[in-house]
Amino acid sequence: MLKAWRAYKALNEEQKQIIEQKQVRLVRPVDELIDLLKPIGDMDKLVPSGCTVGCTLFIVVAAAIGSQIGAEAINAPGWLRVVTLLILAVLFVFPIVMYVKTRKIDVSDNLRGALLPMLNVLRDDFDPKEGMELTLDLRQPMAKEKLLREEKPRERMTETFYSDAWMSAEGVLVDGSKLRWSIVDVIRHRTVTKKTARGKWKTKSKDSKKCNVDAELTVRNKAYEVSGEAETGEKKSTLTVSRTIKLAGVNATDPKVILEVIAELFKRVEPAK
Amino acid sequence: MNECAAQRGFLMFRDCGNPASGSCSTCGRPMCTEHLAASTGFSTCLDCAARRPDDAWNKTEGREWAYGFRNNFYRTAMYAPIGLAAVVAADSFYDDYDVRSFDSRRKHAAEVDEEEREPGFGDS
Repeated sequence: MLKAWRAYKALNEEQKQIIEQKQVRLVRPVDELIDLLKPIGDMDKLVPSGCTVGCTLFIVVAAAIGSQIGAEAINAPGWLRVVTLLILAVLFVFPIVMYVKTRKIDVSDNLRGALLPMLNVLRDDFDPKEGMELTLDLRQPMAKEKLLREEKPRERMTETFYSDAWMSAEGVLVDGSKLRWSIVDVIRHRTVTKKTARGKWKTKSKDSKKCNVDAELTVRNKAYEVSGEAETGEKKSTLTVSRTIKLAGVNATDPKVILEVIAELFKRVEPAK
Repeated sequence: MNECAAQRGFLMFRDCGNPASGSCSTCGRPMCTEHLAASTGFSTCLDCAARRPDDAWNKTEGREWAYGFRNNFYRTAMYAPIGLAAVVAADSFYDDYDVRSFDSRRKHAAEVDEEEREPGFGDS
């Protein structure tokens, strides 16, 4: 937690502003985008999950109980018990305070799990002198602002849908072609309440998502021969592709899945002979 | 001075363009510092590092990871990059990748649209 906070403090003002706003539009060469966003991704890796904080609190409570039992057993003086409890109280409050603080600086895992790997892979394809336009929404995929609808398909089952349009990008490639893509994840959070054989009520939840990738490529007719469906103009042709990929969980989308859709466009063009 | 023999790019290949500062101990090709793998002590090029067994590239990051990903992607997604450079067609190192090259690249270079030329530069 402290590491995450220190990493946040080490960021520059622009990076801190990106974390604060979470919805940003950036226009600059791809190398500069990587330089700007990578430290944010590195910091995000250090932000603890709710589980880590829960475990820490559990350990502190267990230590408090254990210390009191131990103190009783050795007949420790009262002041020692009070000091021990005070230390443990601080250790209990500290992770909660840090969790609240670091939750504010937590950004969507899509940044370090999908976007940064994609930029690293595509960095040499984009014209280094041209600015790449990147629109990002780094709020958590299941933030309440992204709530789409709630359904009750059957009794004791709730399905909550979220729409996460977390990235769109556009840029000029080294050969002068133009590439743009946008990604919208539709997340389904399903909660089912069941009665077990022992008569206890248990609630289980499961997440899945559909990753919608739309990509568009504009190439010069003199340089490329286009096969398949395309909008062909006098000098340029535009190819489009839309794919929906079903994925389990709400983890960051595998960059390979997105790049496969983009590569589909390039499979439909051949260098002109 | 030799030029770096690496091909940069993912969707399309082009010459690195940097002067070579050393050579790869595996393939022997001249390489610039940018295209030597840090995880091998800068003795192997990124392409050879990417072809190591057990997907060792996945434990790296940055450019080295990207070249490993590229090699893996071409094999699994059956993608053949577009070769923008003339040299890539002649370099047998990239035979594995089935690069789709411009056969008549020079012809196309001569046919650049007038409007795409830099302003102020006309035919002599």
